[in-house]
Amino acid sequence: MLVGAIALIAAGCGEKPVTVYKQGQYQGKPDMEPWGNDTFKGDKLAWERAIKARNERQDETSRGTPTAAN
Amino acid sequence: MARMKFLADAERCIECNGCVTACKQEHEIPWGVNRRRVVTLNDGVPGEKSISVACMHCSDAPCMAVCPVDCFYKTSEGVVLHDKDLCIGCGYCFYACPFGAPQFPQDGAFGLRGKMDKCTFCAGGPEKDFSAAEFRKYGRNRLAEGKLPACAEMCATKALLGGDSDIISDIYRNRVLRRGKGSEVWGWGTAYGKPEPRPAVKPGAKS
Repeated sequence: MLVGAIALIAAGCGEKPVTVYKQGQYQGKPDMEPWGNDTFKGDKLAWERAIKARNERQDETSRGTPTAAN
Repeated sequence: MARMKFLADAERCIECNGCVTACKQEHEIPWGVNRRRVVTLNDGVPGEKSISVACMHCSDAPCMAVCPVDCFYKTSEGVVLHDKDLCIGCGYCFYACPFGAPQFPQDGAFGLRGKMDKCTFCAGGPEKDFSAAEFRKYGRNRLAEGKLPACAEMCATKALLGGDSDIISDIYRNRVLRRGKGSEVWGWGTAYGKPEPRPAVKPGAKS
């Protein structure tokens, strides 16, 4: 009887803590900035230059002689 | 840096599914999950239009608004990402999203729904950049490598543009101005040339 009661009380200790979420606010892990890694070493301008160059390469008209229709 | 956006040009898309394949290959997406797909309207009818659809990284994202555990966040570049460790796989975001972007991989033998997976704009997630955990949960982090999303960079006809919204909207605006409208858009003039001007008919000449 006593053993059963202790087991029942102890069972409550195994319960996972309940996370209380704050509505409307990100609750997860923080993320790194895309320039904050070993590639760019925190150089935001270098990252922006790389992205800008890639952006502009999507325009085929600026890469060669413009044709009649694109 | 302005917001990162996708722009799909329905006049150029040829439904090759190259963007879908590039995405699948780049992030090793499991079977049954499509972060990107090509939707065709009036399929098989002359004048059909195709458009490549994925998460549009909304400025006021409804998925963020409805998430009961607030696992979504927006990066400084305007990319909507989420923390898979926090996601409970409830599917609210799927119902809220007008593009059907959130995907739920089958988890387990009985069709149990796994944690939500979606397009990350090739920006990884809230794990250390280039780590194995980041790749496993979110895929490759091309943005941190100084590259744009694989789907847009792989697009053969450049129907799908991705990147800084100011630059890609300029590219699209310039394109629309150059190609004109009607048959020019269809590429008729490119394939068959412009109609030759007819010689002026002299008065009294026999036809």
